[in-house]
Amino acid sequence: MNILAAVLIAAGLFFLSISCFGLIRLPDFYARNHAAGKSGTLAAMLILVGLAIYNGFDITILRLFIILLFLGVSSPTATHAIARAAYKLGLEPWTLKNRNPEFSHDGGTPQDESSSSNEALH
Amino acid sequence: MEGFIIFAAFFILILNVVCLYRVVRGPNVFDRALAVSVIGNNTVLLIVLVGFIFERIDMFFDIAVAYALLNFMLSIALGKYFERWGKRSR
Repeated sequence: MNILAAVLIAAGLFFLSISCFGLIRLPDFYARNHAAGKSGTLAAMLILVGLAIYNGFDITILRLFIILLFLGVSSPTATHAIARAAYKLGLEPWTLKNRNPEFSHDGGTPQDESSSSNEALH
Repeated sequence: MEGFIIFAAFFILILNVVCLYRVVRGPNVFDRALAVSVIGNNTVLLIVLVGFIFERIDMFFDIAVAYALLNFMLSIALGKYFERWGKRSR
């Protein structure tokens, strides 16, 4: 039973490291959001299930299950809210032709606007 | 198994320090908000692991639930704020 719990926690640590390195290495905000949201949620679920197996059958499993349910609902919702705000503000995705994505809403590049306006978002 | 849980806690701590790079060097504010959200999620797992290390699971679980609620509220509030007032501040 301990070996199964250790394998589950090790898999969770692997997915957490994938999430963090994706957050560092990927080129774009949306790609980073994709890496962080899905991989982080799966890692949290794996680690909490592993800890529940290590703990044994107890009242503690109920609390672990509450945290698991809440993280499984809240983490995708939070990343979705941030990504939706970025899309509504006109943050362009990274493509092969647009290697340096910027905010381009209403057709204007950020260099064309006034200098004081960009300081709030950059 | 106890040593493996301590190793997992230190590993998550190192990953949090790695994620701080995106908070400091994020190109815009959404990258920073996303990195703070990821760090918060990792910290909930870290608090649960610390509860297993100290064998005070009942106390640390309440702290973890409160921290998860605060982290979720922070991300939702940041998203709603920039969705509503971001165009004015550009």
